[in-house]
Amino acid sequence: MSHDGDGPLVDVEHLNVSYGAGRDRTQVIHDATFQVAAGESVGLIGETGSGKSTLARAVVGLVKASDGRVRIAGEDVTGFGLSQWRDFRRRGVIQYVFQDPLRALDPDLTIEQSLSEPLQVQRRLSRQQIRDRIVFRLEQVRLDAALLSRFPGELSGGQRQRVLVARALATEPRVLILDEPVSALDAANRVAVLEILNTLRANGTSLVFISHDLGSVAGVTDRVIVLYRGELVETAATTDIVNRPEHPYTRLLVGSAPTLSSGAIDRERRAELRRLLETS
Amino acid sequence: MTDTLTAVRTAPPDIASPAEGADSPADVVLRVEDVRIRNPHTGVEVVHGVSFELRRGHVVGIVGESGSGKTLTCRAVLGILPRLFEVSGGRIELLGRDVSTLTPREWTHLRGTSITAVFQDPGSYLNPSVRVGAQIAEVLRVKRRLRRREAKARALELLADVRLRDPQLVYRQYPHELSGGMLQRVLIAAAISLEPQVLIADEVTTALDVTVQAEILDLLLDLKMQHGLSLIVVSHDLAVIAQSCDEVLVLRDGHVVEHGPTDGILFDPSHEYTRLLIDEHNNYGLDRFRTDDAAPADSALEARGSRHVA
Repeated sequence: MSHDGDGPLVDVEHLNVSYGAGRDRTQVIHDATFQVAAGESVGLIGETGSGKSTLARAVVGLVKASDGRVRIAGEDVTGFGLSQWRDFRRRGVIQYVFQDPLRALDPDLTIEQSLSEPLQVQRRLSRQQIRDRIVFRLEQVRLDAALLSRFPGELSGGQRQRVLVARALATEPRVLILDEPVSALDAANRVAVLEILNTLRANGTSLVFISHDLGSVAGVTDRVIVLYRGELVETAATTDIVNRPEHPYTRLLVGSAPTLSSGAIDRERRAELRRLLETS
Repeated sequence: MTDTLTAVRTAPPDIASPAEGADSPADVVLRVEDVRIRNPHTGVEVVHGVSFELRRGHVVGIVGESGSGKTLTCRAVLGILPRLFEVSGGRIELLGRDVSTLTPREWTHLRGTSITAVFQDPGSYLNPSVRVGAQIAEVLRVKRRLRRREAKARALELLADVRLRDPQLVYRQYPHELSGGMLQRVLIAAAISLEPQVLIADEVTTALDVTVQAEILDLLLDLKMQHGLSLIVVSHDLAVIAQSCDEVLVLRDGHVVEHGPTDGILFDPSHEYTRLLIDEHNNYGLDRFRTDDAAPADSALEARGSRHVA
């Protein structure tokens, strides 16, 4: 592969994304530049409508960027057409886990069929090798192989989310992008999924977490990128974002997040930050 | 009977009446004693004995997953259990009155004027084709028999009370023109329009951004202080409860697995589920990163050095 192992795994430069055309054209991502290093875990945090999902989708070619450059594992994917993207995705270097665990699985396919598909299109492994691989992946997400013959509707929300992670892992990706991976789950499943992702992180898979709630994923990230109204306003190590946020929006976000200890800032300060954001 | 219920109200809504020293039994506005809820057709019990007392001006929190019985408990307290469920045991006392003795007509009178609720999805509680102001004014015209002009003036006051920035504009808007946070404020305005004493806030911030959530929680606590409201705050998020409640119940599969002052439960949880919730915050949430000196970190508001990405 063209990636030499030294440069960033994901390298985004001056990316702009717009929706609509002519007078209805709205720019939703403004000049985004960021990198994700090999083995790094990054949180892409922003409120509803900040453009975080759009940015992640632009990186994997699901949304067309109007400007800028994206390189994944050293390969410039910026000008890729549909067939180039298809071939690139089949290699499975980068995988995307979508937000809604029920709709992201075909209800008419068994779990085994859903998990086998990304490997079958690669045409590299035999049927038995594929089966061994997906059983291994299921074990990795702590699901029983007995689930293979079931349909998505027969699984709980937590099981479905883990199946999606297992499917994303089937092609041994170097980068996994996860859109709100735990927001729809109950506490026991949230912790189980976060533990699984932490194990992947320890094994060197790069992770990108998209979330509106820094508090739900902070503990599995090394670094946080804060997105506000389509702009990347701040990036720093997670501990610095939490303890020494700089941009007014980051300060408002961290200061609003409920915690068990009383770390939230008082409302007067939040109101001041809000005024500061509105005037800037 | 209903006269005594309305007479219990102590302060008009505009006068601040902080609920200090509210400790005599008469100040218990809601008493829930060993309440059980079951499906009478299958005989399956889903809530297995919930007990708590809500005092005037206090906040009781209920934490649990979806399916733990927290919303059913609230609906039993409101007298609006879904058709398939009934209170099969225990006792609910609202303002000193056993609610099982209430006729449907009395319930209709009490709801809104004594006890009220706001739920997770504010959009679905408003008529999409009617301007929001008219929907609040309608409640006042029907329940308070206010004239059109009085009802409008009062609705505008209420929209200002919930700190919507431009009440005149919001009054004329349709639900789809408002953000989730603004809709939730409108619903809270409607809920307090008849000056109730108990407000149930069931997952009211779940669908909102974190920064908006903080504002809605502030608003609820302000209403508590200014109007002497007593609150039941329901959430799946222990941190939301920790920041807003004096006392907390942890519900798990219809059982109260923990009940006590919030600080005590956070410091010394006795049930494994509560420990799981606390560990989640400590291992994966902001609590993991917060250093002791970090709380006042945001003391300076001047522009700081920039960590701009580009």
